[in-house]
Amino acid sequence: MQYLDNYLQFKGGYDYTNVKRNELMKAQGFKEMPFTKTGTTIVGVLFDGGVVMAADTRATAGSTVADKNCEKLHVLAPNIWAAGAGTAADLHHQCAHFNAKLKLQRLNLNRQSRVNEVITKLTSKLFPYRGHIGVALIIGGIDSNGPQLASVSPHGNYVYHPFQSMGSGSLAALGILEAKFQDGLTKQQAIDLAIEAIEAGIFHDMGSGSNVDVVAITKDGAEYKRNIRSYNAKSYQKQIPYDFPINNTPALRKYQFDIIKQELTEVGQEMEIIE
Amino acid sequence: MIFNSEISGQYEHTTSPVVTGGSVIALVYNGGVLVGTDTLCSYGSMAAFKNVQKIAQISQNTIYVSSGEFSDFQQVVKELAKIDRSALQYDDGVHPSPKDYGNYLARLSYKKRCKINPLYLQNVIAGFHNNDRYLALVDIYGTYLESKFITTGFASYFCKAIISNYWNENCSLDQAKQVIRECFKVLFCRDCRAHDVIQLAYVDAQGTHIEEPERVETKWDFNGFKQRANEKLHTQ
Repeated sequence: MQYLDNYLQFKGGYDYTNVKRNELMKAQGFKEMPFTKTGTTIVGVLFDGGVVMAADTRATAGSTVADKNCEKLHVLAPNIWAAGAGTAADLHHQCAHFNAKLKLQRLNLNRQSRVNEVITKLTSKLFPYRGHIGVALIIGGIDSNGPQLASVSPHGNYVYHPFQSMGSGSLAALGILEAKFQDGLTKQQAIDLAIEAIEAGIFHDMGSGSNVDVVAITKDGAEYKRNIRSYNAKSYQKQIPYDFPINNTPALRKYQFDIIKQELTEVGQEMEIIE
Repeated sequence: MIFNSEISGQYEHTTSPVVTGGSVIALVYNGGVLVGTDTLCSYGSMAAFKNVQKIAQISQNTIYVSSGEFSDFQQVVKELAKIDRSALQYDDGVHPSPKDYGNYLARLSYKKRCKINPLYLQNVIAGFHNNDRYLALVDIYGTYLESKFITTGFASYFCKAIISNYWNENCSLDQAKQVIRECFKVLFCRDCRAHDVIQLAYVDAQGTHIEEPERVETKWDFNGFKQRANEKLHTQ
């Protein structure tokens, strides 16, 4: 098929052969597999001296909860974190890929990674795939240009805002952020605002739930608080392993088996039962 | 499915709204019920009528508001007011209670839904009767839900969290007003079909009070919006 490779190479532009193949498969009755989406609420809040990002922890596959406590805050660099909404597999693999890519670059150049560099690399990768890589990310970090917060959409669009929210619960979270965001927040105020915004998503959006994770990135590093808030903890936890209290069961009869004599006798009775 | 209109070939029911009103937020407070709407009727995506009173007083202790097709709203107001007027004929001082209007509207909406000719409205009835606060939502299908707070349209997405966190059913009238104003600020920022001039109305033991329209203050010039990192960092 050398001629085909040559032809495609000189044709240029985007290669749509797979689109035709997918249409044919659908016509033949192939059903698309349901993929695990995150159905998420993620927020980012910029404050004086850094950025706070928070996420819920529910991953959904259709209308069932696939993961009650997944991690949606991914490390891209020690000073740059990403919160991801969209297809769980895409998010995990893209973030791992960029983490490795950035690390390699840091080893080569001996320089800290920058947020605008992450945005450029991400959007360059996502745009040619026309939104089929289902990652909607909020990228937050601090570098030589100061603290920055940006969001990237699956099609490759990016926008820098002082507060962002994405995912199915983004509207609920945005209500809280629009009402309460101000310039000049302190770190603790930003964390409280981010947690309140995620709570709004957890309680008012069905695709979001479980716990809240938070990361606060400043010049001194990133503080990651996993499950800083938990609303749906089980009220009763069975002991594992289960301890049976000794002498809790009343004994009605007691038997004694003598191993050497091979005799079974009932304790407290004259009766003898030979095995 | 074969609709009557297809058989008769004579007419087709409108299936999408033309002139629409925006979100409605209604809250119960200590001593009454507070309702807020904006004063805009949109013609699709055009802000066509900017000074519309969308709050109707049906009787001495009942308010009716809705979001959706505005002509349907006007028609329902006429129907409900007709019921209130016809009660005068009995000349016994007895008027339908707010719940009676809510129930009537639910029955009417459901009947029209069954004929595939709906009133394109999310209706909110608010009232104060027998020292009791009344607040109900009747939606386009005729679903009847009594509740302590009601949001329609985009307010259901943006404002439920604000209401849960900053309002309780025994707060004062001023607190409830502040919550509704805050909600409409958020809506004006993020809903394309919202307006920043709102109107509040409340029913309490003394009757209905419809206030003058007021403008909500919104802030659009945060530092992060004015100095966008995009320009500095991505176009070098």
